Amino acid sequence: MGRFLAERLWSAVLTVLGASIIAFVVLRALPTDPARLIAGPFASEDVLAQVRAQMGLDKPLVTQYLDYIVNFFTGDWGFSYAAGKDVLPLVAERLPASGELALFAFTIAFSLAVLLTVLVSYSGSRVLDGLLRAASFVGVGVPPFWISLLFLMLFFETLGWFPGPVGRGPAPPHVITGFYTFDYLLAGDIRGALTALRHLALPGFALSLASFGYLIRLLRANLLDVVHEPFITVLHSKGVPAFSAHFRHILPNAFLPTITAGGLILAQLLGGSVLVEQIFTWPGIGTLVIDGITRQDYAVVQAFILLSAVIYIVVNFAVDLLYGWIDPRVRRS
Amino acid sequence: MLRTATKIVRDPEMALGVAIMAVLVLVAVAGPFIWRVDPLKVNVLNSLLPPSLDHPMGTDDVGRDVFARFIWGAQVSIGVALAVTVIGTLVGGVLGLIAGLLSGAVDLVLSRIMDAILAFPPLILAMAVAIGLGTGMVSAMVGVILAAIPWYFRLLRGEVLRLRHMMYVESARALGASNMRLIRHHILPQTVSTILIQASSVFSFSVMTMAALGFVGLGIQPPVPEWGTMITEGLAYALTGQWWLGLFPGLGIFALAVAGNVIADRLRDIYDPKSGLGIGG
Amino acid sequence: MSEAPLLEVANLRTTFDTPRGKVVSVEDVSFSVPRGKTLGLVGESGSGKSVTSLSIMRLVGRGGGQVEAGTITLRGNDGAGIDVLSLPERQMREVRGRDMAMVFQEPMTSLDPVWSIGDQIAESIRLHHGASKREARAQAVEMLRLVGIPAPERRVKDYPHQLSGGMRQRVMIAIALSCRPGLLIADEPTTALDVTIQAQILDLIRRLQAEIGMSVLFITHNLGVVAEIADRVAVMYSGQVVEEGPVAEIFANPRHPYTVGLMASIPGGDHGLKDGHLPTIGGAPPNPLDRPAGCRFAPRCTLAKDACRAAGPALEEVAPQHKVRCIRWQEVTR
Repeated sequence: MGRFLAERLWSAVLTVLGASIIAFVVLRALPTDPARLIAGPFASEDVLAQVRAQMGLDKPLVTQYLDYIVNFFTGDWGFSYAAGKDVLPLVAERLPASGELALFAFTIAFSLAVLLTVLVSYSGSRVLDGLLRAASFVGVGVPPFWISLLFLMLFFETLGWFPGPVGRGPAPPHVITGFYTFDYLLAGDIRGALTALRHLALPGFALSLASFGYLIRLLRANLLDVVHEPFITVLHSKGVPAFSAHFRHILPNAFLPTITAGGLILAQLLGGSVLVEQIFTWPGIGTLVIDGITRQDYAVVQAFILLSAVIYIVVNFAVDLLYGWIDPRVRRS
Repeated sequence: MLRTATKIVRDPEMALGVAIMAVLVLVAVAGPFIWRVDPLKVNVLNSLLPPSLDHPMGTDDVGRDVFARFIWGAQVSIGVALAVTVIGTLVGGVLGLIAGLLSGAVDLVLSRIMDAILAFPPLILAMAVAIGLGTGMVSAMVGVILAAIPWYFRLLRGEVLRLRHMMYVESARALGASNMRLIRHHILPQTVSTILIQASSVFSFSVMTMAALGFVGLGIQPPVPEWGTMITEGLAYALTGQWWLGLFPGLGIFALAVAGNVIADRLRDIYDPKSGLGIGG
Repeated sequence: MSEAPLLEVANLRTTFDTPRGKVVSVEDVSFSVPRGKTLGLVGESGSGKSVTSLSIMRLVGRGGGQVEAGTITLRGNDGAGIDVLSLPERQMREVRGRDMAMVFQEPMTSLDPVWSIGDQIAESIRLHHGASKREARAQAVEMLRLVGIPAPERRVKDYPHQLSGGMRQRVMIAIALSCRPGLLIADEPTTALDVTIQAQILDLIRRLQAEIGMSVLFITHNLGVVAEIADRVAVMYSGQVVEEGPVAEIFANPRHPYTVGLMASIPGGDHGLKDGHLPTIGGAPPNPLDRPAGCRFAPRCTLAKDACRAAGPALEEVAPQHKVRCIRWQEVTR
């Protein structure tokens, strides 16, 4: 176990290093003048020179990279000209909004995918299985930003069931977790929590579709594999009822590999809700990043790019540990 | 080979995927000759007309014909996706071959780099490259290709390692076969199917990601009608009743992406009925 | 043979639906397993041995098969027979594991990888005896001790991947015998194991059979193993039983050319046809989709003549308890 942990940790550290080099190369060493990126297209030469010096662009590349990575891990993520603030607090205050949306979408995608796949496989119906496969293709193939648009047109404008693109709705009186739903519940305000959920619904569903489709494909493939394992025949030869075989043996076996996928999907959602957030004017990191792109406020964008990779690697590492703890095959060997 | 061909022809889902793809390719290729309307022609008097016989997909805010723009968008989307898929396959595949054949330090370094690339959400990576290289179609394509390279890399590297350990390749090597011979006669024939499957997935990925980049303004620039940017334009009118602006280009992306994924999925089933999922799916 | 046999299979016919048509994988199979004794079911792979055993357990449906005809009768200690094939699925489930249990060929893939072995043994006990968790766990330890697993109190918490193939097969036997079934079906239980381990497992089955007093249907492709463990033997070829009888009788007096051929292939055996007719079992068993019209063994048989190819022979009693499916059985001698 200790060895396993050390190996994974070492691998994670190497990947973070690699990712930081890539982010650095892509954003600093490419033909575009990074000072121009930061200062914007209308900055004068004086300003540009000032920015260059400030960013240390006159130093050798290796020094620049070291500065860059040290700055990132010491929390110095630069200054946002558009917001007039340091990037780190800016990102930090947006994080709960993105986190709540990602968690909501993830919960929907994961629970729906598991529920539907398990029920369909238990029913053994070919028709239902076909529908499930179709649903997974739709989920994976539908552009999230487009389905957001359709949701808005249908459920907000035409039917009026859910709020429009107005972000998270009213803030709870006391912000504790930063997740409005939880904060309202902590305050005992059910109605407030429901309002928060109603605001989450459309962006959440739009965001969940791709993960939903992917998870169905994964789970379905795993279930098919496990169902054909010889040990399932053994179970039946013991007289284990079909229900018990399905839910106590087949499901845990098929489910284990999806833990890894689930963690990575959550990480992707944290970084990938960019477009959906923008459409619903959700006050999260995604909106911040798109605003950064359109206003050419690149300090924010730079920080976010490396951050998304680091989140992914950290979650991956955590999931590896979790998996090692849950799966007996990894746990004890 | 023939049996595989019959299986492909007889598979109804595969037929559906190919049919969707064929229709869209037809729209892209033959569309401009049949629907002779200038997609760039502005006519403010005709702005925001709902779909009708004159304008099957309506008109946009400056009176341009959405159908003509849709056709052009199909050309752009399919063309770019093809280019991305081909270049991604070549670059990622060659790197994977090199890593698999040379192994050792080269393999280690390349594999580390690919792991690092995979740590970025693909869309974010493409965005980063598009920003770094300067906004435009080529930068966006480079971004998407970069995101797709590790998938091919892993695929080809894995195949090479697997095949290298198989008896007949070992013996071919013992007989003095060069690496090129090894690749041409043993490795490539064995991996064509896996490459094809991956390519179909990457095609879908490219369509979706290019559209997303277009949507945030980092992709193909106006006035070239690209489905992603068309949706952005439609967004402004989504809540004022002009549903056709956003609906049709999105349908195009959706149909193309689903067709690619269905084809990949069916190919996988036909070539290797036992395997579950590929990567990047 | 005054006592009624524990298991009686008569005229069993099992088919599978495949994309290329219906495959009759077992046809007109009859044999019986005497109480407390062992029947060895022998044949090449694909001869229908495993399908026969799965038909008895009524587990062919999972693989897309169905039992189309025949009767399977299992007799309890009171002598009352259960008509296995007409039992409702619910009751059949109770019969499985309690009255008849099965050990499979592949110990490496026969256990649930995410359940501890103790839980997998206890599952059967709880299911059929309604034991509490604690009782079942205690009995699981006892079962592990019974099958010769050292330090069972400790190993009971182990997961399958922590055990060797031989150990896993012992666990499989522990699971199968946990409810003291009247019939154990062992489907090539030693084929996947090392030779030294094979002998241990055979000994174990024999010892437990005496201890529990159960009957065993032992499926194997190896006549040598049959000679060692079985009281009766049934030889299968291409989905049919071609010869059945007491082991001593069959080994002394085989009457089917295929049986003779099989015996000749036992290492160190001195079996063979008289007058220089060496039985070569050249060729392969027929494709189940395209079997010869007459005797299925005719294309590979050195004794085949036109009459053999004209009509399929019936199973014929040639000596007390000894049946043969060959029209020229009188000419087949050792």
